[in-house]
Amino acid sequence: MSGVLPLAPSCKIAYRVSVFAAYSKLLGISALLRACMQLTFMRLLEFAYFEFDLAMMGFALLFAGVGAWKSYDNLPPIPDPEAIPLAGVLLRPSNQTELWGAVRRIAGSLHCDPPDHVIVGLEPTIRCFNDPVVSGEVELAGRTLLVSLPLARLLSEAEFLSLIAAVMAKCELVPPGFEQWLVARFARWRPVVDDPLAAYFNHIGFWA
Amino acid sequence: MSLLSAQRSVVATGRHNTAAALSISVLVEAEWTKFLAAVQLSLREQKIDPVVDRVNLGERFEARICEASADLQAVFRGSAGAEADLNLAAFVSVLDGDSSEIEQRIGRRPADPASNLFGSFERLERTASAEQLRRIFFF
Repeated sequence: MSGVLPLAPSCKIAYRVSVFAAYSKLLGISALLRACMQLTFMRLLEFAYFEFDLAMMGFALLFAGVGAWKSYDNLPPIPDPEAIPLAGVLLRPSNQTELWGAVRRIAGSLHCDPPDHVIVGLEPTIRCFNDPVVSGEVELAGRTLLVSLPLARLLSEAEFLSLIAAVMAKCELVPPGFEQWLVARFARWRPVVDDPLAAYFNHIGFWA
Repeated sequence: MSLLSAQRSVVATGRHNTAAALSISVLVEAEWTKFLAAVQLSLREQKIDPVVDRVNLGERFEARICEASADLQAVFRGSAGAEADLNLAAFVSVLDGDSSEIEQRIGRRPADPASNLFGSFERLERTASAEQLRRIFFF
């Protein structure tokens, strides 16, 4: 958008008006238009109207399909998956024997593999990754558990361990590489999700 | 968090623990972004050197959560306007937790905090805080 919008102020205003119109009014207007058209064509075509309506729906589906196919074709390719960046401090089993012991005990209770690495961070979230992660400069392969320091202050030991158990159980359900694949696969749809109309205008070269 | 994984953690650690932990963590997550924005603003306004190795974010956040205890309890009950859609009661009812007990405990320091599991907790938290502050200011 940054390369697109600074063209002219009138362009910007027109864009904003069109976005507003599209989001607020288009649905209502199109429904009204469709009802009017239906009534007119029913009157004109009588029994032949149903075939006509079917044909119209067919055309609409065809155009929608072609449009979807073309836009899918023109989107940038799926990027190679990258390691997930995490902000935190890596905890070694030799330094943090009590935590590592608790984590291994939980993994034993759940009958799942314990994590290969434990990272402690300041976000109040506990997560488990099957995919490679990057902490600082270090890339860590295998299963990584991210635990939270603020939650360690606010939760009791049993509650904290129950959150660890929940994320490790979830991690066991997700196949390795899946999250990375998901992120990479849908990254190119981000502009479409953020602003569909702008993505469409960019796509058709409206601003060029 | 899927229901299946929550139920598996229930088997390993108990219903009440899981219900309380999930509820409190959801509330706290919602507060964290606001907290970081406030920290960033206050540091800028006071024109402190951004590399503040002595600032312990975890400690400050705990204090803030304890201050906001009444608001958090309102959110937990689902009567706080826009934030009511968090629907924390869902965890509690599905996992058969005691909602009034959890509500009382939100924002109160636990008797046996999980920080006991970490060796040299304060030092660890200061290191993580310094890294977080650097990330806020330089990235």
